[in-house]
Order: sequence, then structure tokens, then C-alpha cells
Amino acid sequence: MRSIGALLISALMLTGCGKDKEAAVDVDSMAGSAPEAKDAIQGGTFTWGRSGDASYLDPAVVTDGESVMVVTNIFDTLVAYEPGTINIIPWLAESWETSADDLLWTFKLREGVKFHDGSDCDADAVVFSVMRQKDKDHPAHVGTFAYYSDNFALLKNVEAVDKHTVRFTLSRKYAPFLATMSLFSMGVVSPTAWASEGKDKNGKYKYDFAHHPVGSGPFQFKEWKIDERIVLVANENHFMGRPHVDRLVFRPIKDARARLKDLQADGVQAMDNPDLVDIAGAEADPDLTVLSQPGLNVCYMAMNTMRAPFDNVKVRQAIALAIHKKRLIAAAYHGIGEPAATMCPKGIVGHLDIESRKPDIEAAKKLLAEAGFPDGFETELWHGDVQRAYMPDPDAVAIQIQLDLKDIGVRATIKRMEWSAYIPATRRGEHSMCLLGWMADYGDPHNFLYVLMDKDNARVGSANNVSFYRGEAYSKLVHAAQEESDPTKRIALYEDAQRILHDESPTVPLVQIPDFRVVRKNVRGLYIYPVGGEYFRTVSFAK
Amino acid sequence: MTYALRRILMTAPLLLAVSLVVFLLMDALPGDPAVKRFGEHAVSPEEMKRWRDERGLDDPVLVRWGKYMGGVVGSLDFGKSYVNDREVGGALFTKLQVTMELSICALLIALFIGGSVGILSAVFRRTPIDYGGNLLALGGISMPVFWLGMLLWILVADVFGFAYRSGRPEVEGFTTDMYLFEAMFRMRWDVFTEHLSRLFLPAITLSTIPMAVITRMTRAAMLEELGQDYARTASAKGLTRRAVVLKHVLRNALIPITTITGLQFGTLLGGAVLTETVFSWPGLGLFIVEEGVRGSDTPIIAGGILMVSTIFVFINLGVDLLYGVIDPRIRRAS
Repeated sequence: MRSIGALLISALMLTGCGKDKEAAVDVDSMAGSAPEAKDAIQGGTFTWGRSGDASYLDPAVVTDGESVMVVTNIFDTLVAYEPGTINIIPWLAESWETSADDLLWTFKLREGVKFHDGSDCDADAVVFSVMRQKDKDHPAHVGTFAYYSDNFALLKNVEAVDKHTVRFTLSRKYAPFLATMSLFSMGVVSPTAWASEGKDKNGKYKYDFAHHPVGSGPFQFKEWKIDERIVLVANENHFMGRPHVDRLVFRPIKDARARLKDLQADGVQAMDNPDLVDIAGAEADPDLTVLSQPGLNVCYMAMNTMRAPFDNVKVRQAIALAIHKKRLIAAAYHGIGEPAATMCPKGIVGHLDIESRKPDIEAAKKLLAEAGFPDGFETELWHGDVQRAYMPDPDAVAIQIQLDLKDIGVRATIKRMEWSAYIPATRRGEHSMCLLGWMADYGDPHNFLYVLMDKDNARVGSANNVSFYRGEAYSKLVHAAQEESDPTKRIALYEDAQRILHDESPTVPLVQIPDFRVVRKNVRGLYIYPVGGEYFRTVSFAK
Repeated sequence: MTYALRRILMTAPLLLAVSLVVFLLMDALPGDPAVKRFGEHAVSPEEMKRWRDERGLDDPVLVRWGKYMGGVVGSLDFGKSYVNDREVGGALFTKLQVTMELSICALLIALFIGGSVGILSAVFRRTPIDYGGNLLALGGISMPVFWLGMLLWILVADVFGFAYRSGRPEVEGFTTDMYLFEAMFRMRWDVFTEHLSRLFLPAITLSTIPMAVITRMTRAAMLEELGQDYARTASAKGLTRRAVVLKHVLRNALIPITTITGLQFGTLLGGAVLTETVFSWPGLGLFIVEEGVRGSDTPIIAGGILMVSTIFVFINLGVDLLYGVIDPRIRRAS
């Protein structure tokens, strides 16, 4: 009995030891990628541990990250990201040109590309893949296309000019268009596979594409066991050459600690979303490498400007001055993360490099007094009950902000809500203050500054802009930037917009969290992609 | 035989009621599958309406339940998941096998250890053996499963240095999802050992609660029987202690032990959620909670619970029939 007791105690001590090393985490010194291998071996199985299973594998239908990281490896898009960056490179399209008015985009496709089923991946297939999302009567219009509605409402027409040329017609100028063409939802699907089982009585294809996907990407779908594993195998005929590993396996391991233990036992070779508290321990493990890169995300607190007292800019500024972001990061993020100064995260071209407001209790109190609240006021702070990458511990974030606000006399009651009730309630504007965040879909300021802050997106009921800020001057700048094709002028417009946002403070940007991956030491060629999912075509093992 | 048939027929209204309760509860609880499906994306109201209509989400709850039960009874069709359109029936059947295998292994461990410790505790009453048994039972029932699971994992991996991997191994060419049993049948000892090396931790973790219950029940039943006249008579006749305990007393004590074991098996099927989560064991519990409850996916929850209830009912029937085997008096009476 005694020896077992001693073992239990030592085991407990082992679990506790991560804590002491916490201070040693130095995110800046971590690499953003595992180096490409000169000594790479061909073959092997690369297993990726993640926190949940996919729901669909139809690129146009998926919305969750767990599905996205699988489809990005099965399907090709017209343009892609240079590994580990948000720079656009030619992919299925070899080159492209725009008309003088920027409304016509013509893409020249690579020749001889084949789908996994052997059929041709040509201009017709591209048109099929886009039109099935746009046209409700299309036989492959099966499912709901959330990303299409979000991003491609301005698409007027898509046509095949010849076998290897596709032309997109836009209804208005739209500068982020090229960036959006790298979105996984624009992955090109095999029309032959769709048509292979005929149509049902509604004229829709019967083929269950969402669970038996056929694309042209570096990996080919093989098997899906729900909640257990998705298996892809190397596409021998990919136009960029066969990927190094033979098999790519996605395994859901819900618990982050369990995921790390599996990694240590070589049950998986890499994982995402480690618990922040485990980072130091993983770094100290001789078999593991921690990769890190500033994440294109922002965690923020929105104040509902439709409600008093948040319709008063002085109140909003006072609250922004009261929040001590460094203390917040220490208390709720295990010291990992950077204070966010603007709603457009660092790493996106167009991010305004200003300093976050220094906490200043006296100035904040003075502003509150000028606004007519010398003794502060009572309010509510809402948050959801689900951990997000930008908010691993929502309760701790809320409590820390509550404490900060108390210093200036603002007494906030915290309301923790079930996620599926929380999101619709904030869209309807029923909150006073609420905590949310956003992760980039593509690397453009538009994705943050328009989607989260423009008055177009402040419609009660379906708002993404849950501060319901409707500044005219701001909106003009963001709309102008959307149509501006000169990059320098665009950046200037977005920077001005962020200055306005900083003064008006409808939201308080709180934290930007780095992305982490933990990989085994022998993994090579793994990059953290800032947006768009995971791409494993470059992964290999060292000898 | 008519008895068994009658019992089976009696369960039909019970299962109907269970499924109705699931539908009513899911209707009353907050949580909308559409929110889970589309997350932070704002889909247009028309698209949303079409999506909801396709699934009949705005029908009255009784209509939805009627349609669902019609499918289940008429053609064993468990419907499609709201969130990802997958056929629920096939997935449930696979998951059920996975959980069954885990539960059977856990129950065997629980029976073996719980039974032995219970007998020893009763025979050596008020000795250190008995106290140790009590402690084991108390520990087994009060340790939270997710904590114990993680602790065992750390113990095995970091203290004993065994590189434990969670989840089931990849297996080709097997027809069932009970890899352990099928590997034995096919004599594929490589699969057997690999699978066992992953199964033993969840099985041990899952076994602790039934083990505790069985220990306590065995001890109590054995004590009761040991105090009976026949036991004293047998001892007085000059039978060895061993023979009295194992041949006479244990057989009589088996009835309550069998009952509690049957009940525990049902609990295991439904209660494997936590263990399955810790060890990424892709069974029924993980499926119902991860896919069903989180996605407010009523077909998955209703189907899962129907399946567990059915199995539970059949196990209890099996237990009833076993009484006759254990105790000839019951057999004669019926």
C-alpha cells in the first residue's frame, strides 16, 4: 500500500510541476514552423491531434475549424497561401488579370490537373464549384453555403472562357477579392463525382459528397470513422508533386492534456490548441517542439451603443481607460498573449501600430464625472460559457474586467450564458457589455474592420457588429477602402478608420493570442498558417 | 418462454415514453441546432428558414416525435443528424459495439476484483483485510472518473514509463467494432495486444464504480448467508471453511450479486461518457454528448437513449432468467 501511495504522490507532483515553469515561457523565441528537411524521408503516417471531429467534408458547406483543416488538404483553390504567411501565390490558377474597372477577373488555369477520380480539373469544374453555391436550382446546390453568403454576394457571374480560362464578373469593385479566392469554400470539387449516382426527385444529385469528398488536392480521402479518425492518403499525381508522407490522419482527442500525453507517447505527431498552462512543460520535453506565431485574432469587449450610458462616448472612453490589459493577460491567459490596441490584429497589412491606452483611473473617473456619472453606475457584463482560442478561460476574463471597472465606480454584474443562447442574444443587442472575439477568415483588414464594426453589420437580429456602432465617417472610410485598388491608399484609409475607432471606443480590444502547435522533434516542414486552415503537403519526418 | 415474451412486450410503452421525454426535454431546453451549425456566421433569414423546414424544426414537438418514432418503428430508421446530415442509425450501432466491449471488460474486472474482495471482507470480517476492502470500495465510488483516468494515465506513462496511447488502433478487414473479441476469434494476436494496450486504462477507470458497488453488495450478501443456520450446520458437519464458503454460502449469495451486476452493466453503458472523453474512446457516451447534446441534435440523443434503454431492458430480462439457473427453487416455482 505504502509504495502505491508514494507513486500517487509523485504522480501528483508531476502534474503540478508545469506551474513552476510558467514564467519561463518566451513566445517570441519560438519558431513559427518546423524547418523543412534536407534529410526528409518519404513515407510514414502523420497523425494530427485536435479537439473535435469534423462535421462535413464539403468545402463549400463547412464552417467549423475542425472540418476546414481537413478539406484544405483534399481540395485545391485557384490561389493559395505561401507557407506560413498570408501572401497569395498562384495555385490552380497560373496567372490572373483584371479589367480596367476591376470588375472582371480572368484566371488562367494550370493544364493537366486531375481530380482524385481521374477526371479533369478544368474551367468547367471551377464554374461548377462556384455556381453550385450561387444558383439555388443547381443539382449540386445541396446544403447551406454560409461562407458564400458572407463573402460572395457581389459575384455576378462565373464563366468558362475556354478549357483553361475562367472569368469572374463582380457587381462592384472589391479589393479583397483575390484574397477571398484562397478561401477553402472556393475549393474545386469534382463534377463527375457529384453526378455519379444520378439525381433524386427534386433534381438534386444523390451522391453524399459531404462524407465522400473528391477533390484534386495533395491528399485523397480514404476513410472516416466518426469521433475516431479521418484518414487521407497521398495523391501521387498532385501538380506540385506527391506529398512526403503516405498517410495523413486526423484524430479528435477532446481533452488538451490527453492530447499532449498522446503526443508524448507518439500516438499523434503534432497537435493544436494546447492548454496555455502546459506550454512550458511541453517546451521542456526533449521529444517535443513548441511552434508559435502571432495569431490573427482579437478578443474584445463590446459596449452596446444603442443603450445608455454607452451611447455616451465619454463613458466608453472611461471604460477603455479603466481596463488593465497586462494584468488581464497575467490573470486570465497565464501571461501568454499581447495587449490589443485596435480591432485589426497585428500581422495583417493595414493594422495601425498605436499604443494601447495606458490604464488611468483618475482620467477615467474625470471622464465619467463629465458624462454625468461621478459615482459610476450599475451595468451587466455578459460572456459565453464556451472556451474559444482567443478566450481559453471566459470566467477569468470577465472577473478581471469586473474588478478593473470597480476601481472607477462601475459596478458590473457578470452574466454567464449558454453559448447557443448567448450569440443570438448579442446579435439582437440585448446586452450592455459583452465579451467576444474573432479569428481571421482571410488576411485582410476588411475581415475585421468591416465585418465587426461597420454599420452595415449592425442590423439588430443578425448583427456581427454587436456594439451597434454606426459612425458615418468610419463607415465611409471602410467602404472606400473596399473599392480602393492602390495598396498604399487602402492602408491609409484603414489606418484612419482605426484612429476613429480608437477615439470612439465602441469596443475595447483586449488581447491578441499567439497560435501554438506542439510537434514531435522529428517533424519537418510544418507551418502555422495565419488564416485558412492547416496545409500538410510540406510535412515530412527527419531520418 | 411466454414470461420472456411478455416482459419484452411490456417494454414497448416504456421505450415510447423514454423517447417522448427526450423530445419534450430537448424542446424545453435552450439551445438551437441552427446556432451550433452556423456559429458566428449570419445566414440570411430565408436560408435559415429553408434549413429549418428541411429538418422540420418548427413543427410542434409532438409531430416531430411522431415522425421520428414512425421511422424507428416502421423501418428502423433513426433519422439524420440535424447538424451534419449523417444517418444516425449506423453510427449508433457502431458506437454501441465500441461501448459494449469497453463495458464488458470493465464489468469483468469489477466482478473479479469486487467479488473476491467482497468475499474476503465477509469471511475475514473486522480484520485489516475487511478494512482494506472497505477503503477500496469507498475510494472506487468517490473518486471522480475524469480525475482518476488522468491520474492512472500519468502513473502509467510517467512513473512506469509505458508510452500509453489513447483511442483504438487502426484495424483493416474487421467486420465488427468489437476489436478485442474479434481479434481473439480470428487469432490476430497482434491486433489483440495492441488493442488491449489501449483498452486496459479506460476499462480499469470505468470499472471502479461497479467494483465498489459489487464489493459492498457481495460483502453484505455473504455476511447475511454466513449467519444462516445452514452455514452453521455445514460447519458443524465438519466441512472445511473453504467448502462452506465457496460451495454453499456463495451460491446463495449470488442472487443479489447478479441483480446488482446487471444493473451496473446498464449504468456502464450510459455512464461511460467521462471515461470515453478522457481516453478518446469513440463510444456511445462520447457520441451522445459530443455530437448530440452539444449540437442540440435531438435524433442522436433520442436514438442513443433508445438504444441504451433497450439494452438495459434486455439485460434485466437476462438477469431474471439467470435467477432460475442459479437457484433451482425459482426455476421450479415458475
